[in-house]
Amino acid sequence: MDNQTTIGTIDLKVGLADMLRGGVIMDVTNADQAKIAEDAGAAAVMALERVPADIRKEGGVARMSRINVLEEIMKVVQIPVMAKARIGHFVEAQILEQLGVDYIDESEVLTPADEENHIDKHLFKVPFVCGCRNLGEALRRIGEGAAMMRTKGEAGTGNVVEAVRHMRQVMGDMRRIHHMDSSELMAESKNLQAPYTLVRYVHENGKLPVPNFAAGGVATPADAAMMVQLGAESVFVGSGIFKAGTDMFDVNIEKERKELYKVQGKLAAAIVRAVTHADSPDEVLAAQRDQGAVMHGLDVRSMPDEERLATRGW
Amino acid sequence: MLVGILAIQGDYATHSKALSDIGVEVVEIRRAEDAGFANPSSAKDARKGNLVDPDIALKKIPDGMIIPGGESSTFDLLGRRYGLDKLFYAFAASGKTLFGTCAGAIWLGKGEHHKVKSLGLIDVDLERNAYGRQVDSFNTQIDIKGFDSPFDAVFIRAPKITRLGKDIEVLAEYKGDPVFVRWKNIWLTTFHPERTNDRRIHQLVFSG
Repeated sequence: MDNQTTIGTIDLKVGLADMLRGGVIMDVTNADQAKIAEDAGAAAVMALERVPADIRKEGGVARMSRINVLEEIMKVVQIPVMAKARIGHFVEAQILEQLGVDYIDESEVLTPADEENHIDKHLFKVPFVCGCRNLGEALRRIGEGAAMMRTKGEAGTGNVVEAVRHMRQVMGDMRRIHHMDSSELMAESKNLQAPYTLVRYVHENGKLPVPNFAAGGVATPADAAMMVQLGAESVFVGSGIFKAGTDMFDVNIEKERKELYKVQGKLAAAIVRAVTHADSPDEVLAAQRDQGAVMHGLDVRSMPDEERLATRGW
Repeated sequence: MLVGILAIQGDYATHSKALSDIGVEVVEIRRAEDAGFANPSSAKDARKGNLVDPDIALKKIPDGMIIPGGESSTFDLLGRRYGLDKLFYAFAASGKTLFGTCAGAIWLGKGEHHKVKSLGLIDVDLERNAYGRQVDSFNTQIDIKGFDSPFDAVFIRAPKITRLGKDIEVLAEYKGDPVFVRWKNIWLTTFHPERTNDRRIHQLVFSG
């Protein structure tokens, strides 16, 4: 038989996102951390040069990772490897696609390259995940071709409050639209600044056409399980794992680094357990008991708007 | 009929919908007790097909099980911790249907894998991510034995079957590689039959 083979379709892109449901995606900055994440049961890793907590502290322009770091990480794990590109930086995205990463995160954690436009994600074979704070933002990104969403939260804070706010906002918006009269949908589309066909999809199905994960501030097994119970299909953990315990050990001393990795691996495994069994309080308790060290958090209320990463992109 | 779906992680919700479409009842399995199964004291016990201690079993035992696509290293790690390896040994031994798709096929089959100790319940070797990375994921039409029209098969970071043991029935091939095989009560696809609206494979596996 003559096989008609197609690649890079939206179904294949959403397909991989569905394969990651219920699995934890962990930010890693080197091969050692990638191995720890895989050993802990991560469903994918997000490769980046600095975790959000460090980007926040050190400032400067945060760009796509160095290629050699990405290649090294892609070599040591067999789970999918994601990488971040700056908002609107379609050439960073072209490079990442050429390199063969499995998913691109067009991310507000990096410094935006375009303050008006996001990447036209339909032009790529590789799938994209994007951040959102509300349903309108989610549907605009999906309209541009995103195959997976994540609520933004406030990355690098270890404070789950913004993640909760954004997830509640998206879920609440969807419940409202699901119960609307169908003749109200065009006005709602105008109000949300979102494509009508996607507003209609949410009205008919009560959910997004792609999986929606939570991100930005998840630091403990309890945080992760809470996000799942609020409606997240799963969670991204950024600084939460590899900023945990860093004040207890000196990473420049090999013996201490090994101890640190052990502590971080334990926390990573505990978060995986809490996500898989988010609806079983006995399991979440066991996971929370196992967490060991967690990162210090930042109070988001005292943070000026210009320091908030979530306000990048629209 | 009641079918359990391994729901540690992966595409369990889409399989669940496929089964509902053909009138099969579904239960999500994350721990052995979700299948009304008391964690057996040993793998040997499980291999004999000793499914439950009737005093402990509170729930209905599924008639079959799906192990969906996802990440096989995650299944292996969390599955073993919760006694699911033993549950599947017991299921296989008792003649209940086990259906593994993609990562699920890797876990049920054999072969040396990075960070995955396969259960070895069916004598085929698989190679993980054998077609490449996500940009190499594809869908294509394949012919399936007994079906009167082609099936739209979705391959996502799919494995390849690299060796077939004795008496393995091959139900479909793609470019010379087996992609749908069966041995007794155990069925494997390297692609994702749940990802289209064509329910013929779920029908075939669960209602014969």
